[in-house]
Amino acid sequence: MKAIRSRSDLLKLLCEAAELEHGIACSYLYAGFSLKRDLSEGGMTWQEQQMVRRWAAQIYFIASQEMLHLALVWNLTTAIGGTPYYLRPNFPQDSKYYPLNARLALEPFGMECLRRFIVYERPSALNAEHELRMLLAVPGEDAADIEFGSIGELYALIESGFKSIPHEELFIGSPAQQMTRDLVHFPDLIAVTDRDTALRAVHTITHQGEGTSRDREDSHFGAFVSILKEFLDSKSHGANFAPARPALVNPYSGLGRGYGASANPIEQPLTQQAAGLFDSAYGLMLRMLAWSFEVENTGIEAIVSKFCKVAIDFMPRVLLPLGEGLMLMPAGERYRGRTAGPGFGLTRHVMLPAAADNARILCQERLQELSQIAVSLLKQSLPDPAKAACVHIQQLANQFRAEKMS
Amino acid sequence: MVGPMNESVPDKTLDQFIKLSEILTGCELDVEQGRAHLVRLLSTPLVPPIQEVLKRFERLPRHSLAEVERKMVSDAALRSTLCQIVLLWYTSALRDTVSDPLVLRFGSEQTYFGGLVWHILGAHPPGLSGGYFGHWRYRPDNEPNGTPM
Amino acid sequence: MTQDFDIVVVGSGVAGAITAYRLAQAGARVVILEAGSRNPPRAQMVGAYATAAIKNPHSPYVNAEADKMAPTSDSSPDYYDQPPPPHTQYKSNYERRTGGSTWHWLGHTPRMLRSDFKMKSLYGGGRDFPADMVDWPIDYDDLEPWYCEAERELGVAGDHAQWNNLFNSPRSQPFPMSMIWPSYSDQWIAARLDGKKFEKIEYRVRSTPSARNSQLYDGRPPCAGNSICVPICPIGAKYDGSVHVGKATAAGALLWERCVVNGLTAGKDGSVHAVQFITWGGEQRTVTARLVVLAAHAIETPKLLLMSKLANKSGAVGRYLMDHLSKSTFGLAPENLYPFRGPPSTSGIESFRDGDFRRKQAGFRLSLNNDGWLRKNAPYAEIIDLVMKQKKIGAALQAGLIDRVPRQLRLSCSVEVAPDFNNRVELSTTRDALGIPHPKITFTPPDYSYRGLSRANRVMADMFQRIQATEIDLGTDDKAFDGAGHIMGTCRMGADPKQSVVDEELRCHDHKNLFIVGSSVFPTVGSPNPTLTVAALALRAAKTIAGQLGRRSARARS
Repeated sequence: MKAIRSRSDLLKLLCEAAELEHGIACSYLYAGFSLKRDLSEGGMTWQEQQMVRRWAAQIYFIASQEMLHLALVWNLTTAIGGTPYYLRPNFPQDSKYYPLNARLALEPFGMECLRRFIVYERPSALNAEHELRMLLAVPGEDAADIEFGSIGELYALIESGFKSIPHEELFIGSPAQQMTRDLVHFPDLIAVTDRDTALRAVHTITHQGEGTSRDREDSHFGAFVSILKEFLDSKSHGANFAPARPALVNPYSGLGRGYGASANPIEQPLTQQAAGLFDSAYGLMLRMLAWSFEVENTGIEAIVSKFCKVAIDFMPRVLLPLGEGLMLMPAGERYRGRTAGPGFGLTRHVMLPAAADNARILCQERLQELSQIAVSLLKQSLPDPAKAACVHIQQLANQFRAEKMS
Repeated sequence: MVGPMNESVPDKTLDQFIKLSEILTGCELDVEQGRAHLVRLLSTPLVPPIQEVLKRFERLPRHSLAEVERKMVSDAALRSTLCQIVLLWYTSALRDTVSDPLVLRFGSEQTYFGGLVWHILGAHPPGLSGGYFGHWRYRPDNEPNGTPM
Repeated sequence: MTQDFDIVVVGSGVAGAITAYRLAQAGARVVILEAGSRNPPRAQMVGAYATAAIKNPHSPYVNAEADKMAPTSDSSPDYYDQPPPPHTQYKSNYERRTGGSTWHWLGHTPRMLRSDFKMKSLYGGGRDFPADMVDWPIDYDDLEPWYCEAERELGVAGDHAQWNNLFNSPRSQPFPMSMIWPSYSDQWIAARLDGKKFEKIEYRVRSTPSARNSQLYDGRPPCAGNSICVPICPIGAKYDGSVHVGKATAAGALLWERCVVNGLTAGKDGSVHAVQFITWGGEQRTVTARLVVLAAHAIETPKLLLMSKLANKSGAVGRYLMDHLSKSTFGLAPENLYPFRGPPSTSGIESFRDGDFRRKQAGFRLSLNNDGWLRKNAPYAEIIDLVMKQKKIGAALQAGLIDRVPRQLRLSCSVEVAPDFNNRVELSTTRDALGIPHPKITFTPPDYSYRGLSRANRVMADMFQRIQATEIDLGTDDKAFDGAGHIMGTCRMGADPKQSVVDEELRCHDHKNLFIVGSSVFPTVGSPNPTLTVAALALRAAKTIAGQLGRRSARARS
């Protein structure tokens, strides 16, 4: 394994880690959004509904831990003088884009999706490899053909960088930049100020993701294997079991560029507007969070706190219901009954400026714009979760405007 | 208590039942749930019986909220069964008696987990997951009053 | 003489299962005798709850045969032989199934406070102080490392900063998992209460430590807010005794279900080696062991000792029956609090658990609850009222529900019951289907506890006032209470064999190879939910028992 000895190499790896954690979180969220909620959606008995809701809760939980991992990577980055990297390539990306050897894609819940998740989280050292290959094999495919890469290897490289670059040279970031758990809702967030805390942050990520040989079942890897086994079991018992909404694979709203060739543009106009609103809200949330992680808190604690509060509220109150809502909206005639989904499309935009007053102005203006779009969407027929998201965008925009920022 | 098996009910009766139920509940309703509820109501000794209530509904000049309020809800003799219909859709329960203490009889698991009141309240049927870990920390996605602050 | 087993454990609830697990891990040959049966699959029990007319704690576990063969007051309303109302009723009950009562517990795991172990030394002497209140023979520092271990074994989520050093009770380890998020309602209330005072005591809302996963832990998922912890967690995020039953059997312990222990026999030297049990089929059998552990909870354990006429030279078996006095109060908040989401309770107020006032009246915990007015039949009662009395349907009906139900709030208290010699479990003359006596119960809370209850009522009234609630319902009787489900006392721990049943290592004074685990050994109860203390004591006792077994093995070999 190549030893990482320069700050620049370490920062590049941290950016790759940020992209990966971020992209994987989006992929998990997409799968979570696709799982049905109500019996009225069909395809589930009440017992299957219990199981499906449990799967959704677990997938969302794992997604939230990926977001924690992203937050930890951002803290690691700013601790050594970098700035939080929030960009990622739009979906899909083929399996060669990262050394991971797995596609980055947005897919509704199912066998393909779960296979991909298990590969993302696969531990570097795995005893039951043969059993795993058999579990992941698609009928007709030779189990030996499945390739593995490992995020664990990426973090091993990052860890080596934190260990080998001299401490006094490396940690040039201000401790006042570090995001703490009281501002963002991550009790396991670590403020990174030295090698010890850096290594703890890395271990937290790898432990939650792949676990250790003693507690594998409590890792993301273990959870996905367990869900896959249950899914295969339930499919063999219930022929009519259909836990996922018929959402598109890799949809996009058309706002951004740089989508893979196999991405699917949403064509139904109202759905396209709603998907565009999702992308815009998502992009703004990311920029607000990245700004909060980057600035030095000293003297502007109240402002940072308010930025964080609104940005964090975006996830449960806007992105989650809008994401689910999009999966209940038609994608377009050529997709023959399939519904849409959020594309998590990122467009070109500036990072928020360092000066807090200017950052506030940009955010407030943008929030008002999004609020206007939400108001116009509400005049049309939307599924309930999408309606709720639009109402909440207005509330958040008003809340941000009303907050005294000093 | 598992409700009776879904015997066939005449389509027209089911249709009337769904229309009336939608007015009473204020919700768009699932026909298959409606079939299960109607079968149960047909075999429950209500006062007045469901058949009589549906006949009264059928005879209304218009099947509108205003007509149902004016001609059926206002009639004390009918109201108890109308209440049972709402309770059934909202919670899968039927009330055993009209007086205290309240005694409820629940329907099948399928109708319990399809109960509508929980969503109206921004919650979920007790026993079904409400969502991701920690969602109770925030106001509900499906906020009950929906009016922008 | 060769015994069938090294250890017989009577009861497969959390105390028995943890003990059996640790001893099996240590290499002992263990058999667990469980009076009840194994529960059906979890999903089936959730279905039973969904269709149950009365969704009480027993509703998922109803089983005609099990209810007949291993009855409790849940399954048989006349199981407790006690004087009828207006005499105060002992209302707490338990579950006789594999895994025990933690199937339907709420999951709260606060520790006892330092003072709780030394009530007599700290607060005794005055005329209002209960005569039977004693010190434990151990203190908080003795049990603290075991509390940490119990938190790991059960999987407890909590916030270290909030709880470390509460009333001088430090924590040497962080919680295994970060806290269960407080509900929106908790935060709303905290914003209005924190820092305010009632009779100079400051309110502070704290997240309640719970054996409920806030992350993947021990092969179980994080809490997903199914909201029916009582009576059952549909996904196993909440700990229940079946976790350690599984671990015990995986470690080699045998589990014999549907075996109701109905007698113990001591030899001339006082050792108890023979355990008699009757199967549901009526077959009477005996199993022998080098050591016996009773873990049948605080009603059945003393009952068994009384039936066997053992362990009672002190006269304390069955005596000092305790509980916590539970009281719910209701109010309508001025804003939406969104009940029926998340666990039924996620936060509480600990401020009134300790202080000089305990010279004269009991301390108590307060819980903020997330189940609205469920105990007043919400939302069913509201639906009926809106249609029948207010004649509302459609959108107006929905608006009426939305206007009220999301604002409904329940507060509750859990008041310490002081020990009283006269509160006791005895043998009734009525018998169950297997010929085993029902428990005869005498219970009247001491005035000390009633004074605490009265104060708790006034505190809850104050809390409702401060949050500007309306329609406040405190009940009509200041002395009315419900059972908290915390059955304690009845085989109390103590240094003096004349005043107690077990020593500080939970070994019976009268029989050196007979141990008792579970809440029956508590000499006093403080105000926390007892299960974490039960688990800590069981872990500690398992170590003692393993040591005793080992020494006997060594002596036998030499």
